[in-house]
Amino acid sequence: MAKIRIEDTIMSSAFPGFGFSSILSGTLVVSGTVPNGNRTYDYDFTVPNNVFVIAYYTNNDTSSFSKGRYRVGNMPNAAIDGVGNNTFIYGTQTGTNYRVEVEIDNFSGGPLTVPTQNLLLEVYLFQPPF
Amino acid sequence: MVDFTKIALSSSYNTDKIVFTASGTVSIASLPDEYNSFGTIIKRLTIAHGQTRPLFIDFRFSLDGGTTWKTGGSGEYAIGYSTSTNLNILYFGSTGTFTYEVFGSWIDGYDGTNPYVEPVQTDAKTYFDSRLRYRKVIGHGHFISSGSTPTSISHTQGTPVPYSVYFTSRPNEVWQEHSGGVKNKWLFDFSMVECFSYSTASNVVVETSVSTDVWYKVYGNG
Repeated sequence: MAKIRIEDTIMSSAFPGFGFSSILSGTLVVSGTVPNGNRTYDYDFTVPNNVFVIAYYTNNDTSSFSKGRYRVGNMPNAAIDGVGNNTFIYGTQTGTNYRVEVEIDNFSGGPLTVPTQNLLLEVYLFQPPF
Repeated sequence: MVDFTKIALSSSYNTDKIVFTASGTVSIASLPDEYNSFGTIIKRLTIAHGQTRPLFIDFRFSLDGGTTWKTGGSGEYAIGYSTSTNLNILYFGSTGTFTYEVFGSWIDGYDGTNPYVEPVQTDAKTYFDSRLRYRKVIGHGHFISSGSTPTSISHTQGTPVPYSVYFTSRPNEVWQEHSGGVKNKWLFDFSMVECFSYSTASNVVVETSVSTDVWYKVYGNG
């Protein structure tokens, strides 16, 4: 097959794309107090075996949608403020279970009160071209 | 407004093009060491991708031979970046085995050269299947972030959208997003750039710690 200028093509059978077999959604509730250190919250999806999961998250404070981090209430932007308070969202797939886990790190020295938030979760199931 | 959940493929919208895939299992101890800014060992898996410019990297990894998988990036224990010749996966740990599935997709408009690319379709595999819904690119581009104020990329979907953002964290390297300030384990020195992004109903917002190159793709929902 001849070489192709990719940027001139909308789609091409010469190159795989990201084809999703399903999109699942759920809600993970984050609330309460995070002690000095960290606390985790989790939500489980049932997925087929051996799919590649691409996950997105939004919270009800900002209606934002992100891949790996979100803002907790009125906390400053932990991403680049240098303070070190971090929020992470992990995804772990074990067989047919895909667990979304939120970890809130609290380095403030005392308990951190987290406003109740409903995180909307969307996971896109993708069969990689291997 | 287009309902992307009802369209498998559309000639009105670009799809991503995956131009490289690889998978395998390696001994973590056998990988070369790097040290992050805290002095912690970071292992680096390097895979030649066969192109002449960086790609967007996506991967998943397993530490138990494929029973449990995590998608690499951001807060995980593995993150990826691409140079013009290699895909690199960094792992925060030093023992065990590392099983990976990695793929690289084309960055439209990376350098304006629009080169000819060798197809990866070499057998009878089905690479497009109308039973699946393909991610449709409704916007893509490159900009140089200000480093002091967020950059907003507008879209008209009316809800937060899926997207991809990659950036130059070190010169000549296109990274998955990472951030976290003094707790960011992916900083090898404090001259490295951090990047954080999110989508709202009308924008994708990108913040970086200092001015740098950013590439993005915005997708239609579904």
